[in-house]
Amino acid sequence: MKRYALLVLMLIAASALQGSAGADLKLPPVRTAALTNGIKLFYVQDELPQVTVVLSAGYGRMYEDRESAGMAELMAQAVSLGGSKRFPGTVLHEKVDAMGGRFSIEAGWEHVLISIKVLDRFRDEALDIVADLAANPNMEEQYLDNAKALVADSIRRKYDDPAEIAFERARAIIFGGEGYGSTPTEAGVRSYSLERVRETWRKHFAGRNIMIGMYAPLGFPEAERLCRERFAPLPAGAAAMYPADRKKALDAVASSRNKIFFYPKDIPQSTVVVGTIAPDIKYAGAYSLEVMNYILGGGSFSSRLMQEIRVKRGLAYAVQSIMRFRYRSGVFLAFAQTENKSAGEVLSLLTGNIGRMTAEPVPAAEIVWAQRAINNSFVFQFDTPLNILSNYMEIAYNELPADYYISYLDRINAVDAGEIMRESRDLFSPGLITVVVGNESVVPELRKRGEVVVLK
Amino acid sequence: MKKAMMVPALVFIALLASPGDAAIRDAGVYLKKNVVAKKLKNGITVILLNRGFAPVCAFEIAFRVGSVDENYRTAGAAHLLEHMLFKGTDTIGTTDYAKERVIQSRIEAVGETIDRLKLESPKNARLPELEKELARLQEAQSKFLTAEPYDRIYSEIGGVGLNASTSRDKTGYYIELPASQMETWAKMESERLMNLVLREYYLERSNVLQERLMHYDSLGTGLIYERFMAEAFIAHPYRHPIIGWRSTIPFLSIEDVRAFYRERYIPSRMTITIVGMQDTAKTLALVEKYFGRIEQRPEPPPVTAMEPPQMGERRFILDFESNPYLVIGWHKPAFPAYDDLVCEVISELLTGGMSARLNRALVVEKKIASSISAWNGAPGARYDNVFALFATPRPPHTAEELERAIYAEMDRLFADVSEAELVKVINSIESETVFDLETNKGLARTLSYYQTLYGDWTYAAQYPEMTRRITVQDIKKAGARYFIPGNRTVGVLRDSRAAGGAR
Repeated sequence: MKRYALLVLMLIAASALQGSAGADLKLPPVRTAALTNGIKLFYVQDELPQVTVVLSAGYGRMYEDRESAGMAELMAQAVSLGGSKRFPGTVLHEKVDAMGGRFSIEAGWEHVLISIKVLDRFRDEALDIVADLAANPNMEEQYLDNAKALVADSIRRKYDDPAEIAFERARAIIFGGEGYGSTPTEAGVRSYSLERVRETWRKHFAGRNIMIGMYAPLGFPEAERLCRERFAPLPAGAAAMYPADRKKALDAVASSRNKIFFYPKDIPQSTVVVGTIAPDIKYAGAYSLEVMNYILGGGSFSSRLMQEIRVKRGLAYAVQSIMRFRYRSGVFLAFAQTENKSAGEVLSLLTGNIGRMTAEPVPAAEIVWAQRAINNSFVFQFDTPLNILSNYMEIAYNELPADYYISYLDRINAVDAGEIMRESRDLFSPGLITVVVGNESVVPELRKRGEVVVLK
Repeated sequence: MKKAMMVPALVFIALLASPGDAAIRDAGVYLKKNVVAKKLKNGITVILLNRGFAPVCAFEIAFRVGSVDENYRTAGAAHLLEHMLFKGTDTIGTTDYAKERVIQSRIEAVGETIDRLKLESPKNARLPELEKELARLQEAQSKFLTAEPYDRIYSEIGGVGLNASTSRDKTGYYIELPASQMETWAKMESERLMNLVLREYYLERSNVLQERLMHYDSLGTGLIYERFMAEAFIAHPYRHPIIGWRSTIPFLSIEDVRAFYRERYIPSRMTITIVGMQDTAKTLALVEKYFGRIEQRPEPPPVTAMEPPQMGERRFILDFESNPYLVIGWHKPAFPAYDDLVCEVISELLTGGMSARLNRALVVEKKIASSISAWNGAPGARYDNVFALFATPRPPHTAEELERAIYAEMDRLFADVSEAELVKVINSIESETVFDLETNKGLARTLSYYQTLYGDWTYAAQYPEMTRRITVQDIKKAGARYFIPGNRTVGVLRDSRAAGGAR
C-alpha cells in the first residue's frame, strides 16, 4: 500500500520563481495541514471573491482491471446523480445551480475528483456539499440504474470517434485490459451491483486516501478550521494503490511488434496510433525521455513528427506524440490522422522517426531548443492558484521529493544526446503496438508493413 | 549541454506575496477601474489589464473577420489564411528571401495552373508533369526555409498555447509568454500583419483538407452541424462552414487568399488585448511603436445578404455510421439586441446546470436523453443567428421521441417560468463573470470578444446588470415570438448501420 510521504513543503511554499525576464514571481504561499484522519489539506489564499474546493480520492481507471473496468466512471456518475444524504439528487443540483456554482464529480486515471466553485458568500454551503458527498453518498438503485445507462451510452458513443477507438484499443493491447488498458464495456458496467459500487466508494473516500485543495479569499486559519469541522469525521481508512505489471505489458508489446491491429470503420480518414509502456514518474531517465518526446512529437509544430508528416508532406492535420509518467506506470503514444490512401506512408513515417531516436544522436541544436522551451515555459506551471495547488498535490500523490520542482530544470538541462539515445533504445527496443482505424481500403498498404489483425 | 548556454533558467528564491491584501469585490467594478483601452491613430484598438502574481501575459490579436466575410468562391479562405500566418514573412522563416522569392513566384504560377486545369478536367494530360514541377519547386524552396518559424521562436522563449482560431465572425491569434518577451511578441506579430509570405501554401491547403476530414467528414456530429447551418441559413453566409466545403478547399486560390488578407486584415477591424503582469504605459508605447506602423486601409464591402424570414419548418435526415443525434434551432436576433439577452436566459433555464429544465426532466427524470446543451448565438453573433439545441437520445428512445419531449418541456417553461428561476440564472451569470477573472487567457478572450465584435469591451463588465432587467413576461413573449414551429430547423443524425443497408 502506498503511503503519502511527509513533505517538507514550506521550502517551496516560501519560494518564488525568478523568470527568464528577471522579474520575480511572487507565488502566493501554499499552506498545508494534515487532519487527524490523514486527509492532506493544501490551501492558497486568493484575491478573487470565489471559493474553489477540489477533493481528490486515489482511485480511477489505473485501479481497474477486466473485472472492474468502468467502475470509477460509474461511481462518479452515480453520486453525481444521487448526491448525498443531506443533499439528495435534485436537492443537490438545485442548490448548486441556485448559487450559480460549478460542480462536478469526475473519474480520471488516478483520481476521482469532487470539485465545486462558488462565489465567496456561498463558501459554507460549498464545503458542506463536498463533505457530505464524500462521507454520505446517496447511492441508491434508481441513481445507479440511471448512471449505468448514461455510462453505457457514453461507451457506445466513444465508438463514433476514430481517435478514441484507436487510443483505447492501443492502450488495451499494451496493458492487457488493466490499468491504463482498462476498457469498459456496456455489459460490464451494467453488471456491477449497488453494494459493490458503494463499497468501492467507501474504501477510497477515506482520510488516508484523500487530498483537498482549496483557494479562497480568507486566511489560512479560517480555511483550516472550516475544513477540519467538515472533513475530520471521515474515517481514516487506508491509502490505496493500483497494481502495475510492467513485465506483462512488455511481453504484450514484444509479442505484437510485427502486427498491425486494424479496426474497420467506413470513413474517409485513418487514425494511426503506435505506442508502448513507459516508465513510472520516479524513473531517473524520465527527464531524458521528456526531452526526447518534446523533440519527437510533443513540441508542437517544430517537433520531428509534425515537420515530417504535416509541414513537409501535407499528410495530416493532427500529429503528436505523448509521454505520460504516472505513479506506478507510464505510456507512450504517437498518432496521426490522415486520408486513407496515405495511412501506410504515415505509419512508416511514425515508426521511422521513432527509430531514428534509437539509432542517431539528436543534434545539439534540437536538444538546446527543447531545453530552452521547457525552461522558459516552466513559469506557466505556477501562474494560477489552481496550477500551484495541482503541482503540490501531484508531489504529494506521487511521493516525489519536496525539492522536485526546484531540481526539475537542472535535471532537464543535464540531459544530453547520449542519454536520449540510451533511454530511447530502452523504451522502444521491445517494439511498438500499432493500431489503425479506417476504411478497409487501407489494408493492402498495411499488409506491406506487417501482419494485419482485424479487431471487432 | 552547458547551463551557460541556456536562456536564464528559472530558479527558486525565497519571497512571499500577500494576495489577500487587494481582494476584488465586484468583477464589473474591477474591470472598469483597471482596464486601459486606447485607439491608435491607424484605428487599432488596444486593451490592457495589469494583473496577477506571475510575470506572464496572455496576448490576443483579433480581427472582425471570419467566414461570414467569404463568398462561395472563397469559402474557407479566412481559415486557410489563419494557417498561413504561421509561415513567416520576408525576414522571418527564410534564410535568403531574394532567392526564395523567385521560386515562390514560380510555385504560385504552377499551383494556380494546376488548379485551373484540374477544375476543367482532372484527366488533363499536362497535370502529372506540372505536379512534378510543383514538387521540385517546393523542394528547392525548402532549402531556404526555417519551417514553422513562429512556433520555433515562440517555443524557445517560453511561449505556451500558441494558436489561432477562425469563427464565422472573428479570427484570433493567441499566445501566453513571459512578460519579458513582450517586445519580441510585438515585433513578430506586427511583421506578419505587414509582410506576410504565403509560402508552403499548397502543402498547408492539403493539411486543411485533412483537418476537414477529421472534424467533419469522419464524424457524424461534425457533419450534422455543418448540414444544419446550411439548412437554417439559405441566403446569409453563415451557411458556409468555416473550414470551407470539401469541394472548395482543394481549389482555394492563393490570389484570393492574398486579397482576403489585404482587404480584411485592416487596423479598423483589429483589437490587441494583453492581460497579465505589465506596466500598461510601457506596453502601450511598445504597441504603438510596432503596430502603429500598419497603414490604414479602406473598409471592405459589407455583408449584404440577409436571411429571409423562415416561413415554415425545415427538416432533414443525415445517415452516417454514428449513434443518433438531434439538432434543433430557431432564428432570433443577435447581441446586443435585448431579445438576445432574453434568449441567453432561456438557454440557461433549459440547460444551464443539472437542475435546468431539460436536463432535469429528460436526462434525470424521464431518462430519454443522455445529454442536452444549448447555444444561444449559433453559428455566429455579428448577425442575426440561431438558438440551437444539441441532444443525444438515450436508447431505446429515438431522436423523434426526444424531439417531442423537448417541445413539451419548452411549452411548460413558457407557461410557468418563475421569478425564482430567473434569480438562479442571474446568480449563474454573475458567478461566471467572477470565475472568468481566474486566468489571463480567459479574461483576454472575453475582453477581446466584446471589443472585436461589438466595439465595446465594457459589455464584459455590464453583462450581469443587463440580464438583471429580464422578466418572466420577456421569457413568455420570446417563446411566442421565436420558439414556434414555423421558425425552426430540425436535423436528425440517423445511424446508417441501423437500417442494415436496406433501401
